[in-house]
Formats: sequence, C-alpha cells, structure tokens
Amino acid sequence: MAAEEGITLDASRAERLARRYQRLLQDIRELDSVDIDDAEPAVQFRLEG
Amino acid sequence: MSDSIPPFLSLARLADLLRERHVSPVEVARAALERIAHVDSRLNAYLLVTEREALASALTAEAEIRAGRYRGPLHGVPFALKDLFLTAGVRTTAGSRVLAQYVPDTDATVVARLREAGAVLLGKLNMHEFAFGVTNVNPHYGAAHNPWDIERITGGSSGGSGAALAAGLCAFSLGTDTGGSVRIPAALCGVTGLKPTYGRISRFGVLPLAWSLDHVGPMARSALDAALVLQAVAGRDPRDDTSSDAPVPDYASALQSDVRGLRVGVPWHFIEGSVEPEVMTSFRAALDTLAGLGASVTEVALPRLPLSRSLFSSIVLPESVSVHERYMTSRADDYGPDVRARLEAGLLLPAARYLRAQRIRRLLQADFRAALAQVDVIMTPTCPMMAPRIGEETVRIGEREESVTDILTLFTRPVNLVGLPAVSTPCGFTTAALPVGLQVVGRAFDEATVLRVAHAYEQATAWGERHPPA
Repeated sequence: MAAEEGITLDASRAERLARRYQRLLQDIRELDSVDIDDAEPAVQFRLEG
Repeated sequence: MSDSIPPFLSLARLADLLRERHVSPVEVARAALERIAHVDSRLNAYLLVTEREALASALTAEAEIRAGRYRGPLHGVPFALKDLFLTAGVRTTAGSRVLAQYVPDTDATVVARLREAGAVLLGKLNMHEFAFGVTNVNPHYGAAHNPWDIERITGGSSGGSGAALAAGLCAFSLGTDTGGSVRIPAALCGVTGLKPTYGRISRFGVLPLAWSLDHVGPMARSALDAALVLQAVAGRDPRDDTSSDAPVPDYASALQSDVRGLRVGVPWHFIEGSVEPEVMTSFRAALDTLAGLGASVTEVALPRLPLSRSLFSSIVLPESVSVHERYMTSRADDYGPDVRARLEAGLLLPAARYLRAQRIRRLLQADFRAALAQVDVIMTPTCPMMAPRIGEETVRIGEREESVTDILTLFTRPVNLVGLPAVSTPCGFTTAALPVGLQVVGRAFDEATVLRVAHAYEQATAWGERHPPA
C-alpha cells in the first residue's frame, strides 16, 4: 500500500518510523542465527470436513 | 453508592446476595452507575456508559430472579467490556478515531454468552488504540489512570478494565491479550486477569490485533470470580474456526483442591537481573508462601525465552498490518502516532521473516512443553516493574535503559507465543503502595490448575482485600 499511495513523512514521523524499523532489523538479525531445520511454521490453520 | 452494596464485593459474593434476593439487580446496577458517575472522571476507565440499557437489563434480571428463573452466578451482575468487543447497537471504537462512529449490528459470541447468562452490561472501557500497546495512553480518548496513583498508567491494552475493577466500577470485565494485555493491567491495577489457552474462548466479533496471538480473557477481583466468568464464555464456537472443542470443566469446583505436591518451575535465568528489587522481593515471598502451602519450587530451563521479543515483533507486526491494511490505506491520519509507526514498520517486514519467526515459535513451544513435563506450572512476576508514570517511555532496570513496552511485556509475551493459559494475581505492594502481580502459567487447556494455584495463593494472603484511595 505504501508504494501505491506514497508516504509523506514529516520529521517526527520519519524519526519514529526509523526508530521502529531499526528495532525490527535488530530483531530480524537475532532470529537469523537460530537453526530452524527441524521446525515447521506455527501458523494456525484448521480444516473442517 | 448504596451502603448495602459495597463496591468491592467479589462477583461470587454478589451472586450469592442476588440469588438469595438480599439485593436486587436494579439496586446493584444503580449503585455501580452512581459510583461510575462519582469516580470515573478521575480515572477515564469508561469510554461509554450504557445507563439506559443497563437499567433495562437489570430490570429484566430482577423480574426473572423474582419469578424463580435464576440463570446462574452472573445473573444480574454488572460488568463492562474493553471497547473492542462488538456490541449490537452500542458504539465500538477499539479506542481509535478510525472507528469513532462504528455501531455494530451484532454481538461478539462472548457478549451474547454473557447476556444469556443474565449479566448486566454497564458500558465500554478505555483501551490502548486497537489494542496495539501496553500503556493505555490513548491519543484520542485520553489515558486511563491507575486508581492506585492517577499519575501512573494502568497498563494495557485492557487498561480501562483494570482501572474499573480496581476502583469498584464493575464486578468483572472481559479484556483481550495479545502480548499481555489482560495480565499487565491486572498486575499494575491489583486485580486478577486470565489469558486462557489459545482457542479456549471464541474471538468471533472481537476486533483483532494479530490472529495467531490474540486471546480473550476474563478480568475480575479474584481467581474464583475469573473462573465463574470463564465458565460462561469458554467453549467451541462454530463462528470461530480457531476455537477449540476441548471439554470445558467445572472451573469453580476445580478450585476446591489445595496445592500440596504441586511442582512450581521458575526460569531464574530469565528473571534475575531483569526485575526491580521490590518486585523481586514480592515474587520471592509469593514462592515462599506457596512452598508453605505444600508446593515445591525448582528451576526450569527455557533456553529460547530471550528470543521472545524478536519473535513477537516479527509476528505481531505483519499480522496487524494485514488486519489494518484497509484503514491504513484510507484513514492513516486517524491513527495515533505510536500505533501508526508500528504498522508502518510492519509493512517493511518480508514474508519469509514472518515465517521464520513462526518456525522458531515452534521451538519455543517445545521448550515450554519440556519444562511443563517436569513441573505443573511455571511462575514469573507478571511485570518486572511497578506501574510507570504516564508519559514515561523508557525505564532503567539495573544497568539497562529499555522501553516501557519491552519491559512490561518481558514475561507475558512469551506465553502468547506458546498459547498456554496464564493468570496474573496480586502478590504484594511496593513501598509506593503500587500493586505487584504474580504470573502462573500452565499446560494447554489446563486453566483449572492455574486458577487453582491463584485461588490457593489468594486464600493464603490478603492482597486482594486492599483497595485504592480513589
């Protein structure tokens, strides 16, 4: 949606978003180091007959 | 408020009085409405008081009880809802300007079940916008204020529920918990809050935050009261595909057993160094109390707990973006700045990262499963700190300066990731007279045990008998 609509940022929004994204990048890097070969996704998914 | 109906009566005691017709539902509703009018201007717990509807429901309940058609322990009992449960004909804002005018035409399943049980809805409660935060500092409707110190936050996102219960403005409430939003306000406001097992309570008609993490949970003034509410709302709902058909036991009966022989596990490796000293003192004292009741306390290893923050953000952000895509496209300026920034950051997370987090989540679940094969329950403080001041964004614990949100959710969000039941019950007060919460985590669909432990602890202590000055 961001690409379609375009995002205009004032300084405080840009700063807040940058801070959030930096945090998210840290989180991503932390999870990169985990061995997941034996783990299936835990997405909730249920089928009814 | 009427002298004959003290505002802090437990639901269980109030139910006895109603059943025996010592008080009438209309008297009880009027007393609660009077107290809300008298007290809530300082707390801002209620976003909407449905006085006319409440009195009409109370009148119906009164007539039914008088005619001998008593429905059970919630009949005629006044309650209030976090403002994200759909209520037919009653505005439901989710604490947001985006939904400021939204009036649903249907009830959430849990609301319908409470109406069926004869409970009397007093109104809709303040919350963190769209449940996406734990301070309940709401940019649109104002912060909810903690009754123990109105300069401090209630915790959130079900902050209005915590404040209303602590101040005697309802007998019980329903909240939702995605990363701790029932347990955190329960802890910071000094009441009891239960996050049941994922699937235990229907979420049909409950505005979502993140589908794989959201839980509905009762908040009340005791574990017994929470059990009575859980009894009324638990169980399979054909309109919620994630709801479970696991049998619903008699929770109140399960509280009768003691805790002798109970095995308590504590993940000390994750707790030490991360908790304010006064909270740690209360937590250790709570463990000692339980040991005195016959429980044994040992350490358990949960090696992947430190990944919880990263796991949580990698899952909650993309799921919430998906929920909000429509409004973020058309109404972005109507969001408050903190929630908007979270959603915009979530837009930037690649799908593979979300799925990686969901896979690591399995490993965390395996850790909890292994630990709960060794012990019956796991305990932590609910929050590492007492209620922060309104507007505080970071706090220092030990050597570390961290965000209030990260600190408050440290021990609660892992339990959403694994979907297990957890209760927060009061376990002390700081020297500033602020409540401290004890978290008890159990095995899947074993709400009975976590409630039993909380009940036994409450019976052995008197924390729930203290009330705020408001």
